[in-house]
Formats: sequence, structure tokens, C-alpha cells
Amino acid sequence: MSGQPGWLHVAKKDLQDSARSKLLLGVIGVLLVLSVVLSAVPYLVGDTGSDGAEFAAALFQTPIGIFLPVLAAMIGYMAIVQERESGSIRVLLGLPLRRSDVVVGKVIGRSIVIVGALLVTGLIGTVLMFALYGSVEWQQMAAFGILGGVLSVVYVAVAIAVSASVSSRGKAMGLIVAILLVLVYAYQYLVLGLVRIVEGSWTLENVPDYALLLLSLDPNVAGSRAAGYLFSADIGDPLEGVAGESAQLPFYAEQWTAFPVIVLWIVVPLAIGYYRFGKADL
Amino acid sequence: MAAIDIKALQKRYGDVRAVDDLDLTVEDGEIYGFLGPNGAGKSTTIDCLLGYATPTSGTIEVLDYDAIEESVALRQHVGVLPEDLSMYDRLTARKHVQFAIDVKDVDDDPEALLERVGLQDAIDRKAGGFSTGMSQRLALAMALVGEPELLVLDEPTSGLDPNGARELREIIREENERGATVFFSSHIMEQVEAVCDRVGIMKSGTMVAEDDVAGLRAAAGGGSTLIVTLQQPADGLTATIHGRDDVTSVQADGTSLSISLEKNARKTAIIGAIEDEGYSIEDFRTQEASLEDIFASYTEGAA
Repeated sequence: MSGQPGWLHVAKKDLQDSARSKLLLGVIGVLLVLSVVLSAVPYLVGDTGSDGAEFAAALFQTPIGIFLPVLAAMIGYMAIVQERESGSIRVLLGLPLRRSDVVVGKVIGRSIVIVGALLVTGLIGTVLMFALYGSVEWQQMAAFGILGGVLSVVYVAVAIAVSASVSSRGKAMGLIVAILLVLVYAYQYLVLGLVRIVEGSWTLENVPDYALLLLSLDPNVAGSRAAGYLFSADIGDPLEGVAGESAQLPFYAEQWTAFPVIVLWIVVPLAIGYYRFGKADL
Repeated sequence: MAAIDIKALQKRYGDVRAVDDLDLTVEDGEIYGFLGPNGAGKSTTIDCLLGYATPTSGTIEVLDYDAIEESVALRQHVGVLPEDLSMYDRLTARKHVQFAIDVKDVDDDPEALLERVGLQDAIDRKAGGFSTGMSQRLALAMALVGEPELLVLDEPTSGLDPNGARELREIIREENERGATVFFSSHIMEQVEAVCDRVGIMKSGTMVAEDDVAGLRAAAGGGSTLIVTLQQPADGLTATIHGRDDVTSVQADGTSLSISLEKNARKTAIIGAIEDEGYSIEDFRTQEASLEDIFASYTEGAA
């Protein structure tokens, strides 16, 4: 056991195994179609030159926020529970590996898979933009790359945490679908609904501090703010404007807080998943 | 030194006691057959041994490691062939064995190991297309990686044809001669008889018998039965024969007598006694109790 750490072996093997899967081909296919279509839409509707390039880049933000969490969840949610159902986990854990090696190795292996797919298809889209418009909004595209990467890794981690927590594929599927619905599609509306109940009125301006805190915890918001912080690109801080102009803004209105939020989204679900997996009878 | 030392092991699932106060010792260098019908608690015991499950109470020491607290360090020295296993469909046999070699950080040759288990023609085939028997052989190859001090084989013969089972026994013997302790479970007595130094039989979560095969045979009722055919009805003889020290039971059926013998019974003495009673013997033969009979006598009801 003096060689490489166990999680590295698991990550490598998982990468080899999933690199040959049809699921990965499907994910690459979806991302490729998305990237090519979004890059080409302005050209097809007659926008060329740098206007077209700007338009094309602006198109990316929403689809990234919708598609990547779903694709990452699909790649992650079966990672461990499938091995538990099939019995291959018994082969894996018959070797001198810790259960934490399995969880960490899977997160790393599958994160590399989806981030790799994202990079390749994003580059293809970028090259296509350059061909069609003669220029590319580099900063903006890099910022979307960061947002996509953050969402990929966060949702792979959440999905693998789910996969580690339960004993059957059905439960894992139900749980991850519920999480996606809440986090990706309903979260902001839930927060606004809470504001409505507490404050008695709908508002998208000058939201109270607790609502600001809740909104800043949204992985999509955190990813966008992190990208904005790194590239000062026009990706938009989703909390800007919402927070109002007060000079007394709480610290979590500052962009850098996006990074600890992202780390929490990776670490906390995995800690829960590992805790449940660690004491499970396989 | 004991290779495996299990004391007062208990494993409950809800109200079900899968293993109930089990004591089990396997000596270093021994081939130990762990027998019992499905559901007797064998697999649960092995699950606790390998860290797949946490015992409710009790202690397990394996190769001087605490199998519950030091499971990972222990598994470096153990070769495991688990029950109900499955392989990675998209990886080749070679990749599987190489993975075990990498994790154990040893220098074995995957091809040599796969040849040893009879998979020389499938080295670069993906495991997704393997039959149960082939997966079983591949798992055995992985278990042999790193010359483990202890081999734990859970139902290793399932999915193997008789020829495969014979090859498996050969490998078990070779590994044992190399110095490995072998602990393997089966629900079929004949599988363990040919290779095991000692056999333990589980029933309903506890050990009901533990001995070498000959000892079990003796303890389960002498092993052999003398069947005598007389020229006249045999009813009148049963009491006399049953009274003898070297006879455990007698059954008369028309002119035929079935006499179950104690371990050291001399057939000639019994035949002499029958003739002394004035009966004429037409024919007699002895029948060895089959291993399945012995197994059944422990695991079904009466034992």
C-alpha cells in the first residue's frame, strides 16, 4: 500500500470504465449539439461580425444552468449504488481500499469525465464562433466555462453523495430528481415565495438580508459570481440589483463568498453520503 | 497462531439473528470448509470478516488484525472471492487483474494469473460478455494477486462446471502448499470434502458441528449401514441386535434388516450374532453414509 493512494486507483479505473460507456457518448452528444447550435444561431438569423460573437456568447448562460446539472446528475447518481446492486462493490472492497477511496475516486473520475466533455465541446463552439464571426468574446466564454465547470463538479458531487447514501437505484433516482427540481428549477421561486410570506409583498429589489443569503447559496448563483469574480466578465452577478444600494450590505453580498459556497456544496453532501455509505452493510 | 479467530459474533438485521453467538477458529495453514444451507449465516459471517458488514457484537481477529477496526490493512494480506459478485462490463480481464495488482502494489503478471485460472483465451476480452463461471474464475485470479496469506472464498464453485470445480480444488491445494490458509464456504458438502482439513457446519446462525470429514461421518451416526437379507422374516431379531453396543439403530423390513453401525463395529461379529439366533443369511452388504446424508443430519431438524 506504499504506492499511489487508493482513491487514485479508483478514479483511474472509473475513468477507464465510464470513458467506454454509452452514457458519456450521450452527454458529449448533447453538449456538442448545444454548443454548435448556440454558436451558430446569431449567424443564422443574420448577425455577423463582433455583434454576432457577442450575441452568441450571451446565449450560453441559461442553457449551461439548465443542462449541466442534469447531465452531471445522470453521470453521477448511479456511480456507487449500481456497484452495490450488482455486487462489483464487493470485488472493489475485497481489495485494500477504504470506502472513502471509493467515494473520492468516483467524484474525481466522473468530474474529469464531464469537465473534459464540457471543455472539448466548448472549444468546438468557440472555434466555430471564430470561423463565423471573425472574433470571440474570450472572457465571456471563459467565464461560462468556469460556470459550467462549477455546476458540473457540484452536481457530480451531489449525485455521488446520493448514490453513496442509498441502497437501490430507484431511491437514488427519486432523490436526485427531487434535488434537481428544487435546486435548479424551483429554488429562486421558493426564496421569493418566502419573502412574500414574511414581508407581505413580492419584491425583486432591496430583498431582505436573509433572502440575499439564501439566494447566494444557489449553486448557479455561486458559479456565476465566481466566474464574474475571476474574469470580471459580463456574466452578471445575479445578486446585483437584487441587493439594493445600501452601503451596509452583509458580507455574503460580496462576490468572493461564492467560492466557500461552492466548496460547501461539494463537501457537505459528500460528507453525508460518505457517513451513510461508511456504516452501510453491503 | 490462529489465522481466523471469531469470538461471540452476533449480527442482527432488525429482529433476525443472522449470526448468533458464533465462535470459530481457523488455524494457520489450514484449509477450512465452511458449510451450511443457504441462509444459515455463512455469508453474513464472511461479510463481517471482510468489513462488508459491521457486527452487532463480538470480536473478529484475522492474521492478528482486528477485522473490524483494521479492515483495510488486513485486506492487503487477504485474497477475496466474494459471493454474488459482478465485474466491470467494459473492462477486460487483464484490466481487472491489473487493477488488483495496482491497488495491492505488487508485481504479479496478469497473464500468468489468468492462465492459472483457465482464462488464457479471454485475457483481452471485456468482462461484460463473461458467463458466471468465467466471472468466478476472473474473481479468483484477482484473489490470488499478491500471494495472500489467507484466501477467503465465498461459494467459489457456484457457476463452475465439475471440471472447473476440480481445477479450483487444485488451485486451493497449490495455494495451501505455498503456505496460504484457505477459508471457503459452500452449501454442497462434496465440494469441501475433497480438500478440507476441517469442516464447520452452520445452521440458523450457529455452528452445529466442527471436525474433519471422517470425524463428522462418525459423529453423525457411524457412517456405514449393514444391510442383511435373511431367509425368514426379520422382525424377531431387532431387539437383540439393537441391544448391542456397536449398533446405533436397527430397522426391519420383511426379510431385510438395516443396521446402522457405530464407528468401530465389526460386521463379522454382528453377522455371527444373527446366525447364533438361528437365522440363515442369504446376502449382506454395507453402505457408506453419503456426505449429503451427514450434512442433512446436521442441518435438517433432528440434529
